Amino acid sequence: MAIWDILYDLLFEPRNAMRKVAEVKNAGQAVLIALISIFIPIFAVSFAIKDTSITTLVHIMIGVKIVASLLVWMIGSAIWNLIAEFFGGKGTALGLFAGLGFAHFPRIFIVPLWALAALMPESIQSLLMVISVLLILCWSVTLDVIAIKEIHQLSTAKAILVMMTPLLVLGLLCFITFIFISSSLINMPMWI
Amino acid sequence: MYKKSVIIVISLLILVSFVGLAFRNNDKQKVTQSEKIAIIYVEGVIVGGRGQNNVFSEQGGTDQVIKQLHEARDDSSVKAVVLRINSPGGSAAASQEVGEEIKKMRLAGKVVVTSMADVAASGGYWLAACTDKIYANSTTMTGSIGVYVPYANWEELYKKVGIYQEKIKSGVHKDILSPERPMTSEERAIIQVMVDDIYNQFVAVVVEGRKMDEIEVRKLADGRIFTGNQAKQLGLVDELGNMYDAIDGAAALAGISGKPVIKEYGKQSPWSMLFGANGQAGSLLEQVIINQAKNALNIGAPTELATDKWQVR
Repeated sequence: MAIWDILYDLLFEPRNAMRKVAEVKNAGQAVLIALISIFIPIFAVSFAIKDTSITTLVHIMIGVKIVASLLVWMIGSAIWNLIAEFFGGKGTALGLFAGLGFAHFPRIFIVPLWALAALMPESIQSLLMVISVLLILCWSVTLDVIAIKEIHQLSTAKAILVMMTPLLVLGLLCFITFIFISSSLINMPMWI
Repeated sequence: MYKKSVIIVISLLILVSFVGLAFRNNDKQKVTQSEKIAIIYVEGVIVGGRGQNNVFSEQGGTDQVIKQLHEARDDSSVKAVVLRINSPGGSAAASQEVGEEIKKMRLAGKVVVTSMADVAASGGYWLAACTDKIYANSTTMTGSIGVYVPYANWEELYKKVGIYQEKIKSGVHKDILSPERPMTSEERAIIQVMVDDIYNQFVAVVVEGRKMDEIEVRKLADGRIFTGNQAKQLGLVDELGNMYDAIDGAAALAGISGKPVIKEYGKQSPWSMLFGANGQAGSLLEQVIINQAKNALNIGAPTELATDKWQVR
């Protein structure tokens, strides 16, 4: 299946795109698109903020971004696939991996949006950059949810729940840990 | 075919944007090779050491200011430095360290100009006196040429709450400035000698930096504060103006023609970078009060409050 068909559908008919990805499971193309969508915006961001005084922060951001994106994608695919199966999903891990890879594609639009922001007056440049990042983030998350929904044939609510479950579990674990730590501090032996 | 065309157009758009961003950075790099004026900020109470630094921000500690001065000195494109001072003073040693670095920078051929903000008093004025030229606003608070060592006697309070504190010391003056007992006259004399020594060094800095007569400086150096206006009339300040006047003055002294390129030193937090917010919280007065409570403002030995030695009777 031609990659530009998928990319076009991804932008304008994301549900169709994800259904096709579920059928074809074109992981190779997904890896290519994901890598391009991760690296090109990172370089664009580094150009945009390189001439500030926070050069250390730029290097750290780039490193964290690359590692985090790849880890979340790969490990996330496995975890979300497992959770989706618990909720009655019928898809495959490879299909979800491919779908989530393609869902990275909107991030590449950071480049023209930041280029546009760079042309604006300095007073609103930073604000426009932040807004564009938030918009792209929302778009990406929406595509992730659509990927889970179409590949595992779940409802939208279940797909969102599948997406949120790791965060909810993490939150619950932090809460329980906090309670245990607080309890142990309260019950420390008192010397009489 | 249509879908392919759309994706090709989008790809071209992204490619052009990418190249545009890269070249925008190159243009900025070309500009950065031109002659620059560095702005280094001295804000808050002047204390020595590293302060609190993390990836996102730096707070306090003259080590950072000295580091920035070194960077500006080593940058051949920086022809002048504007020291933007907004400080009520602080540690004499820390002020002296920065002052010596300013003198080294001037010896290296760079122009250093002070721009006083709200307050540039005491240690802040020490630094300003080491620079080529001083700009202040007419309502800036400056002066306070003098030295003090704070001392508090908490003996009566300790008695009231039933705390008895004792020190087992190796020498008779080891617990000098101790808050749990009155200061002896001999101790007072020792501290006074120290204060006078530091004071004489402060006066010498002002005499040398401002090229004023020592007798004249000592008349003004009774610790009083002056407005920028008064300071100009008395010769403690050169010009009245804001930071941009100081920048223009620095450019003129350094022989930079046209609008100077500015390079600011110091980390910016991501928040202030994105939204231009000033992360400085609290007024200078609050910082002075907080740092006094932490004994960070003293010039001599700090009063010691060792709570683990408290003994309740």
